[in-house]
Amino acid sequence: MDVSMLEFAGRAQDAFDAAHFKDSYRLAVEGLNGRADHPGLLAIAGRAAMELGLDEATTYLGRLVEQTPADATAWRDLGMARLNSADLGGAEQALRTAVQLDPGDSAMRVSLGHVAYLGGAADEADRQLSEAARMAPADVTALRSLSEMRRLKGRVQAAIDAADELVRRAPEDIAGTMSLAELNLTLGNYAESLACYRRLTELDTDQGHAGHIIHAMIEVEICRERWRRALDYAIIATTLDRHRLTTDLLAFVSNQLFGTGERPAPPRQEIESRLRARRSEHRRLHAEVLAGLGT
Amino acid sequence: MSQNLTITPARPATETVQWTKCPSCDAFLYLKRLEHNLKVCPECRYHFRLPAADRLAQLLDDGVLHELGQDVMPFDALSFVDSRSYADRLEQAQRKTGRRDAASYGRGTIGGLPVVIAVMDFAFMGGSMGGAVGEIITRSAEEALQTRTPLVIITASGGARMQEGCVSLMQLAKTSQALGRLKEAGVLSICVLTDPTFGGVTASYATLGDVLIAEAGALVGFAGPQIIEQTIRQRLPKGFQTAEFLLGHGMIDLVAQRENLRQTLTKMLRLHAEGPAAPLPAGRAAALITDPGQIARRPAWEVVKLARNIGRPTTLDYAGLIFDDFVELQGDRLYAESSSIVGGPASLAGHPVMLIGHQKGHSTSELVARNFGMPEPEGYRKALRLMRHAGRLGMPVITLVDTPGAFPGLGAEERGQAVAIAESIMEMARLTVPIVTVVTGEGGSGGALALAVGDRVLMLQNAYYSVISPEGCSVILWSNAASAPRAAEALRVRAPDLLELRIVDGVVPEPEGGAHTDQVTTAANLKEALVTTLNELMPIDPQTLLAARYQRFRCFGTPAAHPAPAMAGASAKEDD
Repeated sequence: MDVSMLEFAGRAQDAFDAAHFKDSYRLAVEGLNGRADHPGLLAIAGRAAMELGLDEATTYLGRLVEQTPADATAWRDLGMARLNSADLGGAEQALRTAVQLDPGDSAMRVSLGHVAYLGGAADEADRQLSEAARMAPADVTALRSLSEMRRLKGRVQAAIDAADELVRRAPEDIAGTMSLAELNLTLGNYAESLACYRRLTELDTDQGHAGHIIHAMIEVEICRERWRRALDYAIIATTLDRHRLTTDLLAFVSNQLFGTGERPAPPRQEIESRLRARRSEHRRLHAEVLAGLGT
Repeated sequence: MSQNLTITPARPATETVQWTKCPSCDAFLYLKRLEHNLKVCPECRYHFRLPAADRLAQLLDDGVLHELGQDVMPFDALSFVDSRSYADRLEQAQRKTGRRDAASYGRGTIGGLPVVIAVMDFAFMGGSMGGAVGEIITRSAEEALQTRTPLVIITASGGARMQEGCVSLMQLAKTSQALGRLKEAGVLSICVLTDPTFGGVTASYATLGDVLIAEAGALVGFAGPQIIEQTIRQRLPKGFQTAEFLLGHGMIDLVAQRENLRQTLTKMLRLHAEGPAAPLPAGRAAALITDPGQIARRPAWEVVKLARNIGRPTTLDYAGLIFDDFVELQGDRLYAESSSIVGGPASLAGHPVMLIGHQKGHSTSELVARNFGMPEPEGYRKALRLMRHAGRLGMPVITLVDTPGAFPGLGAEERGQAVAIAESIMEMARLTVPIVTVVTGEGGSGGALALAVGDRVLMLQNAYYSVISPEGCSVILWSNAASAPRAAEALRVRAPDLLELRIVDGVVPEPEGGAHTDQVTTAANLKEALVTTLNELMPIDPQTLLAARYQRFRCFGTPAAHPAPAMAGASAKEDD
């Protein structure tokens, strides 16, 4: 290999490592003008193009896997580049090849699982994510998605199992604990749900979130019609805010305990609907955080 | 303390594959794809909230910010303690976000144009405004003032920071007065309101920009919806306090999708950049007519009918045919948006101007939507707001008049129609930039004059301008509506009549069959007239301009000052 090619590759890689993707892409493409089949330059051009959101990523990475068909990472990158270009079928095929070449890479399985799910193969997704979760005990990405996918498919108990495992592995994971609380609530495991919300009062100390948690705790008690306990929580809630939902909850629970009072309360159906919306808002706040960091 | 304003991904996506889920539609999203989509869900278009660094990366050229104010740090002036000390909360927020506080500022460029930009980060204690945030915003305004560079502020905040008590409250005054100075000095400020912006931030700098842009779907308000519901004990309507709701209620200028935001800002900055010092280049269209004898006279009633022709070009038609980059700004910032008047900055032959005009339509549905070009008070207040904007920023004003009159309605009266018109007339007389008015269709009385106190008042050949509609005059003076044609003659509403009376200074020629038969030629003629007139007015200093404008309207009805028209009576005789 001539020196200039090595120099191009080195400079392109340095720029990529420094997250200067435009420079990295330019250098790699310039280098490829001299030698179009250079695997190192193809890899950098493809990866930099992917960072820049360019469709050319699939072209360079496609050429790369032709040069290095046994390179699992190249197949993985091609899969993700195709996913970026909304080519779901192509992405799945590339990721499947990557996993076959390197069965021990859990991150590839996580991606394959997601892509399979997006393609409608929920069972295959479950298999890949379960395997990834088994292979990487410190990484909860697979478990979080696994739990969500199962919930969306109506397999709530299986979703709880995954969320339970996530919380066991990452006891301070707020989104995981919240998810476990909600899943248990859905299945009528009120004591378990309440335990998770109690745990959340310690974990989720962001300003304003205490109100969300106490409302969820009231919801659990309303579901199991433990009115005295619900009243206790409703009173605590009034120390946090006097918003309409809080005062409506206090009135509603009081009416259940002591009969209809002076303050009219909304019907149970409306109360439950508003509490669901409140939970959804709380979930959204944490989902935004996850989107910022990656799951 | 350094701050995390890294604007390129520190870890390439290929190194760590990441997934997330849309909280709105539950779709699983590949994070890199979401980022390339500017963190808008590709499935349901849910706009994820953006950290300050992502905002800067999306808006600034190459994502490059030269950060200033790195010495600004929050401090616990009250030694505040709730369940935890404020100092602890600050430390936790700093650790979590890698930021000093909820705002940063610096210099950069957008579309190649320099800006001072301040950006808020909701992730830091809900974007709440304490002393440090107030200091950042104030310094950004001061930097913009000192360097006469446009200021862009991106807001995201729950409001004032409780833990700093009245120190936090005082930030409303501190930041507002800084924005006030910027306005006085005629330096452009643009506020981009993102989700969520509430409380003390909305009640100060967030809504004081010359231009207010809200990101689509953003929630913006003063009091939070829960507090309002609790207070009024009513459920709030769907969409309450969304960007779109605010637009409909006249509180913001425009709503932008995230993917269009950078382009919108670029356009806005370009339209407020100084125009070339050279005269505007003239075209080859028909010249403005200043001699009444050169205008072929149609019967007045025929002119009225031509002026009302549904195919006649509207302000928005002219905006597209004559101007480049017209950006419509909406709302009176008081009560509502009135679509009977449209306006916004535009470029005329390369020079920034403020275009304002009545707006009708070409179909029944359009006419209904625009209230037949009959503005309510909000329309005049919007126009006045835009004229003041132009005055502050040194942009000539062009007004296009085409209205049967101000809307005669119950609500319009309740909300001060007469006051709105009067204020518009008075303020136009005092505006320190050149004003060119063109009556393009119907010039219906006070509703027309509210946009027509110009240094030069022009008229299209087949437009009419009158103190009352011919039908109205006919009913009052002839006791029937059928005498409207006679009334039109008697009122001398046509362009040559008004040129003789010096109500107008020039007449823009129309194609033989009327403006509606050839919109392009009409627009070319109008553009020629505007260019010629502005070239005459722009070199004049403001004081001379104001004095001349005063005299222009001072002389009407003053004996000796108002010359008798040479052809008085001739046209009436002709049509009898």
